[in-house]
Amino acid sequence: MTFAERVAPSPWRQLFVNAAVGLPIGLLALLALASLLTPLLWPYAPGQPLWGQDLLAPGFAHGHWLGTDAIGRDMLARCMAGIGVSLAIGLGAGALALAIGGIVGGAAGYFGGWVDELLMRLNDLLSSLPLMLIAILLIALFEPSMWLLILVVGGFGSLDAARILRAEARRLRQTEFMLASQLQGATSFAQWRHHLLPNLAPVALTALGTVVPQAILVESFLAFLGLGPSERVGSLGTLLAEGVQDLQWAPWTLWVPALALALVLLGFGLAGDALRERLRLLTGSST
Amino acid sequence: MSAPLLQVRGLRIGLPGREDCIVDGLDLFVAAGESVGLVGASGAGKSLIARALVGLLPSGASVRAGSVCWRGQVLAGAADLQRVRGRGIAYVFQDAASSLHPLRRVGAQLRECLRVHAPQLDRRQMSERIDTALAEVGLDGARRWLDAWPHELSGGQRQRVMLALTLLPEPALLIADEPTSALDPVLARRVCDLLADAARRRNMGLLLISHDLPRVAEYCRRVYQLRDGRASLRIDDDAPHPAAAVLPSQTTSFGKDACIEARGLSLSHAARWRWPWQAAPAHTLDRVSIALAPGQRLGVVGSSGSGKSTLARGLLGLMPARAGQVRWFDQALERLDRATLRRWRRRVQLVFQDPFRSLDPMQRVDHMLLEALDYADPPLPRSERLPAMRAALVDVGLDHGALGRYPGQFSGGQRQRLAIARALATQPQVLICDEATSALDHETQDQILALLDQLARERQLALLFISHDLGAVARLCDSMLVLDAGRVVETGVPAKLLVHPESDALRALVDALPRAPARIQA
Repeated sequence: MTFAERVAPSPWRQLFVNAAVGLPIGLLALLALASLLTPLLWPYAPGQPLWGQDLLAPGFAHGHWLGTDAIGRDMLARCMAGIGVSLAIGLGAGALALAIGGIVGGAAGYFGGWVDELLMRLNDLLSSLPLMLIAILLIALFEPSMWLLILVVGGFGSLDAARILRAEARRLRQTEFMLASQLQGATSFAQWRHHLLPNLAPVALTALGTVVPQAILVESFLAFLGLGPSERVGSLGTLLAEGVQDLQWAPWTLWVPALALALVLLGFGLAGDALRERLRLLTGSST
Repeated sequence: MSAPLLQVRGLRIGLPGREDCIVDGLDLFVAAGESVGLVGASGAGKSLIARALVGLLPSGASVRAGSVCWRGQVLAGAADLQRVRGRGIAYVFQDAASSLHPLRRVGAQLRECLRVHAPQLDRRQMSERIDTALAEVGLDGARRWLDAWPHELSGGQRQRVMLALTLLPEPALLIADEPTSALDPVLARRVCDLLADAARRRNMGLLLISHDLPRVAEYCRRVYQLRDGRASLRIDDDAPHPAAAVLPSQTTSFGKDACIEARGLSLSHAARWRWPWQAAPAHTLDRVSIALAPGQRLGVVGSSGSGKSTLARGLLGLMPARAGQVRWFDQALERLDRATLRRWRRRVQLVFQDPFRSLDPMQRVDHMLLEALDYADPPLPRSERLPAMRAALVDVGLDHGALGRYPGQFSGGQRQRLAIARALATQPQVLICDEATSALDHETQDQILALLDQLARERQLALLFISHDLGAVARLCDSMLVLDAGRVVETGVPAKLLVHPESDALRALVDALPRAPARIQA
């Protein structure tokens, strides 16, 4: 038999290369790119107060397209920088959540038995702690920084990720292709490398669709409370907190970052939903 | 001629994200009281067609063109379909076990069906109708069945309840989508007989959908073959009874230089621990002894639940022996330490039943073969791996263009070839095939059997072929063993056993073979 004719795309291509998944991911990539390029292309810096140009409404005449805040900082520059910080925290926390969740959930699902019981009961225990209070406590104890935020939010995200990935690993453990590999003499390590991790990956990426927006929201909320990263440029949450103070005379300082936040969350939400749907079509399962 | 009961013209069904249609211009018709078969390979779109006829396509799939006429009128829209479903067209699903409501007694489900479709009946008439329907499908003593929960019934009984349920509204056409594929051949014959009887008695049209051409050909006047999305009529022809076509072959003696052996092996799924007053549970496999030397081929047959797959699991060391032992290459399996067992595993390989589940969907073919080559002993030098992978594919009749593809891009038969290539890549001496052909359609079965035959001969494999397909066993194996309820009830040369079966178990299996007025033409 020869295979010159039509070659169907790989599972990865089928998962990602389609409009429903591609458009939201494209939107997010565009936002990230814009955030990276703004310092090069835009004349104003995010943290630079300009005297005499405070509280300008959005417009094109004065050069500050999205207006300025109470001390004359350019909103477009601040917003783009905020998107960058929020994305970095969200993706960082998401990656951390998947790394921890993948190892813990994978081990629990793969080995089963007492390993599963131990890890999952521990997971239940940690899940029952109030996330917000712990986060506020930790940030109050240590110097608030981007890394601490990623650690806290990602750590909590890993609990959910572990639960999702454990269920998938458990299913995979029962599959015949895993048995086939065992029957050929594969070690546990080889089974993880060849079969478990590649099959967990799409599910993990789908889980990213819920973990990342959650991380961004938590970070925005903390920043809103004044517990944001202490870096000179704030995240979108910092911008929101400041915008609320000037709401009465400069509403754009609130709705510009609010819109940006909504756009980011929408991107992740749509991508996650579309991925889940594609995955369901691909595997025929209802995860 | 009056309008046929059901007429399908130019039906095209597509899946999302695919330009081409799975079903591409299907034409067929069923007249009143006529039995028509539709056969095709797995994945050819048989079930999609069945579902499209009653408007129950799975989400995503859609009818792109064509029409379905019911008694001369085009079915369009939900209202038409709702009217036709049940009393017009009834549908028996492939998996009857999951089609019954698990939390309601059988009687309640039957009564509900009547209340919807024949509300004019009073209670007495209803229970009469139900009793008749149950008797018709061979479930006598209706009371007992009415009070039963679905989980208390066996697979065959559930299938019959489902059948009674679909027959209750007295449909004019019954669409049966692989009604027997989950059943063993003895049960499958009974269910098919029931379907044919019911159709004849009620002058009901029957559209029987299956991958099993000989079986369909036995029951249907016309059989359509589905290929490349289109249906063509297979013309009637006489084919010999499969058992009669069996060629005689020589006997081989057991015992010498066995590379895999079971001595008085007993296995059980029940928990080992029990209360002192509990009776010892029956073993799933009871004192089975077999031995296979290189080049020998043993077929293991038996109806479902007879312990065939358990035997395979036991021989592979996946289940601890309750009594007796398994020996590989003259070493007792339980005496091997874990590392040695792992290194030895490559010598005894398994080919699974369903190639759609035994291949990793995320693993490209080249990676799959590389992984298998990894376990070869001694390991292959890097430079020889690509030629070895290509050779492995060529050996199973595939082109090396397959290397860059994922399992999802192959048909069922090709996948089974890949599974065989993977199993053989570790250079095993023993190959165990657990129903390796029964998930495939008829033609593909033939090809895979020929392939196994050739490979086993070339490599002098010890082959253990587990199947409920007597024809396949007779073709491939030089000795045969019949399992019934975990015990060996008969052994011998297939050709002789199939003509003169001694045991009840084998006789039932032989009787269940499709008696082919099989007007099959290649």
